[in-house]
This record gives sequence, C-alpha cells and structure tokens, in this order.
Amino acid sequence: MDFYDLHVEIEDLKEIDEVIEISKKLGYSGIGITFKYANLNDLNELKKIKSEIDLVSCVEISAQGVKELKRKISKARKIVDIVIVSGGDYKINRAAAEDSRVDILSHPEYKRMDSGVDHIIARAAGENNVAIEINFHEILETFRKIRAHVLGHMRNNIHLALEYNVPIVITSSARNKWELRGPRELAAIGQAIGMSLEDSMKSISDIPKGIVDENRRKLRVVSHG
Amino acid sequence: MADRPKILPPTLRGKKRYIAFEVISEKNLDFSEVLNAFWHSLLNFVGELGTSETNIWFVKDTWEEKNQRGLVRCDHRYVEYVRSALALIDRIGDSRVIAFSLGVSGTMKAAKRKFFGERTLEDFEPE
Repeated sequence: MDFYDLHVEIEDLKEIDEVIEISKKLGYSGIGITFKYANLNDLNELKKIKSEIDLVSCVEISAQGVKELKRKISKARKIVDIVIVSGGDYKINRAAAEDSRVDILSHPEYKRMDSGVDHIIARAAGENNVAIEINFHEILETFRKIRAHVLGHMRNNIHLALEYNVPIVITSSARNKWELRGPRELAAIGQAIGMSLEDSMKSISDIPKGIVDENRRKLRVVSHG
Repeated sequence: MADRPKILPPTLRGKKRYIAFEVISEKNLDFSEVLNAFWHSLLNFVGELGTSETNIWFVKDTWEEKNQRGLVRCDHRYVEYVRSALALIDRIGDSRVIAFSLGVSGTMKAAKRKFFGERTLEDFEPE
C-alpha cells in the first residue's frame, strides 16, 4: 500500500534530506512538501532535489477575504500539484469548499469555538471534491482541555464528511522532522475519533494518492496543449 | 492449598497482541524513560478507564538499547489505542522523539522473529 502525507511544512529546505530519510523509515511512498503562498519561489529548488520517495509540491494559501483567496488560488493552481487552503474563518472555509480548484481544506476548526463545518460546507465540499483535512499537528501541540475540544470538533467534521461523501485526508502537518508520524499511527488517531479503520487507512493512502495522480494528469494535459 | 489463583485455561484468558515499536530520538534512551512517557501518553489520551481495558504490559526483556526497539502487549481489541498513544509521544526528557509501531503479532516468539531479526533453530535447514 502506498502511503502519502500531503502536508509537511518544513521551515527550512536544508532539513529536507533528514525529513526524506525519516519518512522513508516510517514507510511513506510520498510526502507533500508544503510552501506558504509567499514562498512559492522555493518551488524551483524542490524540483532539483532528487529522492527515493515521491516529493509532491503543495501550497498552503491563507487569506483574509474571499477575493484574495480566489486570486491566490488561480495563480497557484497551474504551478503546484496540490492546493491547500488554510481554514479557520467560516467565510474562507465556505469559499474553499465551493471552489473545485481547491484540493484540501486544512484545519477548518482552527482557533474556533465550533467545528467550522456545517451541512452547507460539507455538501459543497462533497460536490466539488474538496477533501477535509484531519490535522495531527493540532492534536500534538495541544493537551488536556483544548485537545479534548479539538478532538471533538474533528469528530464532528468526520461525521459530516461521511454523511456527504466528502473525502478525508489525515496529515501530520509537521513543522520539522520530529513532528512526522508513521502512517499506521495517523490511521489509529483517525479510528479513535470516529472513522472506521478501513476509511482511515484510505485517508492516508488511496485518497491522497488519487488526488496527486489526478492533479498531475491534469497539469500534464495543460502543459502539453 | 496454594496461595495464588490457578492459571486460567486458554479459552478464558483475554486475547492478546504484541506490538513491536521503535523510537527515533536525539540521544539513546533507556527502558524506564520510554515506559514513563508511554504510560503518560496513554493515560492522557484514553484515560484511566480506557487504559484499564487495554490490559497493557511492557515486556522489559525485549527492549533493545542499540536499535531502540521494544515490545508491548495489549488486548487484541485495543491495538489502535496503543498506536495512537505512541503517536502522541513527542518528547522524552529533553529529547525530541518519534515513536512508531513496526507491526503486530500474536505471540512473542513470532514478534521477535519478524521485527527483531531473531533466528531460531528452525531457520537453519538440516544438512
């Protein structure tokens, strides 16, 4: 089975060799090196790096308003394999779910008192094939009361996603090599918060791989003709 | 009369699984540090009641200081709990760590053979 972690947000590209080595040891076939929208120029450096595992180029877009979001998406879409929108704000969550160019809606419950996803967003995400992300970094960096709330919100999102056939991806969202986690461990977290083991295994293997393959196919078609 | 209960017949015993795990860290760790961090993580994540259900037991003899590998025994229904507890360990002492499972096995013998590279006489073909 090919495992993919589509959100690895390392701050310095110099660390990438160690990240690749650990990811290989953990059993990944590919990792998504995620850039902030402002650092999109580093993409060329990523293309030069040779590695045994598949390096997927991703961009994480954060925006203050819907207009800014749309502008950034249209610019990034033709360059990178995966477009991730950093959620949290309800309007951004909804705009991302209603835009089929977006691949992943990252942490919709970030810094919120609620889960950030309602039936309208879930339905839109299902129709536009926008995956909802379960962000392991959020679980790892919180504890006790806050962690309980975060897990509760994620549980809520999973429930809605399963109801409206929204794809779910589980990512480590690692900021450095010490925050990477093995695929089976991420799947175990998924199962603990309300997914079936089969679904959570798919959300670290088949679903992210499917997104990557589909986007690469589309990018090839665009560049050829 | 003996002063302890008799060992239960196999049909009445709980079914168990052995999870082999490895720890990647900045410096070499000893068994007690890993044990403490794991218990802390498990109790935090699934609580006292959840932990009681997992029937957890660390197999001390199997800890390999060199490869930083060990075995943990748990109930067969709660393997994923143990895995999530492993994932949630991020620091042992002042060293950053990644703990991950290598695999699951039904007996200690098979676990040692599969994940620790232990060889028995059965592995050698008779001449």
